[in-house]
Amino acid sequence: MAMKSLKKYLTIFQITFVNDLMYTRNFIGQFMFFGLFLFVYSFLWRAVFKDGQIEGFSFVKMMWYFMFTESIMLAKFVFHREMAQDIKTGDIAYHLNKPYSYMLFMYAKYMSSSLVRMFMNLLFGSVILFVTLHEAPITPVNLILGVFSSITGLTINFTFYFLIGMSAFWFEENTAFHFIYSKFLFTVGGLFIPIQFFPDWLKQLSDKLPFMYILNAPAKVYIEGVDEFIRVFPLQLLHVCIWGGLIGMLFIVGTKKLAINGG
Amino acid sequence: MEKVVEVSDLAKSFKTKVKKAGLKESFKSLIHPVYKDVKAVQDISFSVEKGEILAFIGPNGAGKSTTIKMMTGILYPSHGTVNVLGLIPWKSRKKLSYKIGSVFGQKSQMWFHLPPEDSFHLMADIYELDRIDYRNKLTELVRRFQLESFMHQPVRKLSLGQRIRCEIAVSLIHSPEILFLDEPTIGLDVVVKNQIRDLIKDLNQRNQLTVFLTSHDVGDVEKLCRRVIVIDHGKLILHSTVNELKHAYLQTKILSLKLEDVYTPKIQGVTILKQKGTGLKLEVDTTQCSLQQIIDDIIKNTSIVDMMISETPMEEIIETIYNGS
Repeated sequence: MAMKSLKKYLTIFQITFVNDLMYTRNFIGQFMFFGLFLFVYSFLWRAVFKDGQIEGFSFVKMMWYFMFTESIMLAKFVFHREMAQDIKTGDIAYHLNKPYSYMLFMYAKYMSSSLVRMFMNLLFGSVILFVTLHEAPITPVNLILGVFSSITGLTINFTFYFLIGMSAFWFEENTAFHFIYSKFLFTVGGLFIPIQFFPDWLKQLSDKLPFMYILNAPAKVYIEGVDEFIRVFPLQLLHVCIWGGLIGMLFIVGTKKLAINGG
Repeated sequence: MEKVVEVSDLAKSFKTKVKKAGLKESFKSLIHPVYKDVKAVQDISFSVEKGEILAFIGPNGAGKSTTIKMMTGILYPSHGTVNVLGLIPWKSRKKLSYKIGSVFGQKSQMWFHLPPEDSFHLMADIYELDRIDYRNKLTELVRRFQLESFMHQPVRKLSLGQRIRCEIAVSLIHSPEILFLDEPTIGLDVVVKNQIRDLIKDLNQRNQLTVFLTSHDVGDVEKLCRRVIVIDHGKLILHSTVNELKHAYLQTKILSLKLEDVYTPKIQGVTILKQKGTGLKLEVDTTQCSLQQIIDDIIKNTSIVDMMISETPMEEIIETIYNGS
């Protein structure tokens, strides 16, 4: 029974993957964007690191860190708008009368799209950096652990996208929430600058927030390996449980709210 | 007859925010929001028998969709009870979903860029079907709905008629006992509409499939349903068989005549709709003047070359009911 239940989500994962293959041209656009980012930031970081290392980061390490955070950032399948629209128009009803969990349905779709893009980004970014820098501060073990950490990071991000999408149960407009959220990822998420560069108070604050576990933590695992994985992975799982539990509960409340708005 | 749906005193009301136009009013609404109560469905009761096709019709905003959502467990009612196949929908939504199918004409459940077969495969897994059962069912549906020629084409390349055939077929993959059809023929041309109607009728007769149909197309009601329920402003305003409905509202007959000489009737209850030479079109109110009476009067004055008696179109009957409510 549990296998059959799991199978439906695996099929959703698989169908989304096949469906995404229809948009291969989008990948080219994304790669160009990604390549441009790496090119521009290489000048910035070369200037910043011209006198040596900062907090254990060299120029090469910084470029790989940036490639990893951007690979995850650009991979995220943005679904909160579609979800909010489904709630506002009542189309969510067509999901609710099917024998699956809407949350897991969206998760399977999100993960399928995001993982494909993440692996493509990692491959593309790694080739570019390896060709231009001739150095790669990563090992196969780091890579495997980094993938696990990235998947968990993407899962935490999913809970926030779901939360933003679900806000449509209570708010008519939710684009501001996404704007604020993405700015948190840019800053305390460690997209451009590693958290480790921050002053102590901000570093401590970021440790408590979920955002660094989406980008900074997986990127550090790719670079630093087992020790970093042992330190951050349990905290990532903790955030998945906390935020996953919260969206689960709020969704139940939200669907009752749909009952009030519905018709 | 076994009842598969029983709805009793079902009601649904909700609060909606009201706000006048303009910036000042927007700020006012932020501080002191004003809500009004909307009674979407008001104490409706009806039942559906196993194997029947029931039409559930009403103008836009009448409460049809809210009722269906309560019947499928998506919405919680304000009060009243619903029993669908022995289950209370909002308490056993998931369990019920295995027993019912739904097609919403304006909302596709197919994957746009993929061939229909992929959507069938997904639905089979969603409904946890056995691989062999699924294969057998798919073969049957493909044959019955004549889907072979486009099963491997992306859905986006299908015509609307082909897509609707796929939509209905995919909703039957898990062999539901009740099929909820919301506007299944919307936007279709006459030929395809009739094909879809034939398919629905065939499914109903062969498989004893109960169909709960909402439609704005009176042709769907007339050609498919034995019983009709009309709802407006959340209230049930009519509940009868299609034949009774026609009989009750067909007080007028239209008489189209070609006569030998010019004739002008002077009988109460007879209205001239059109007169051109010896051609004449009359509307006869049968409660005031029988058809026999008017034909006798015509024969007394002239001879009939050709004659056609027609009934008020069903569309007009429904319009009369809506306007009357």
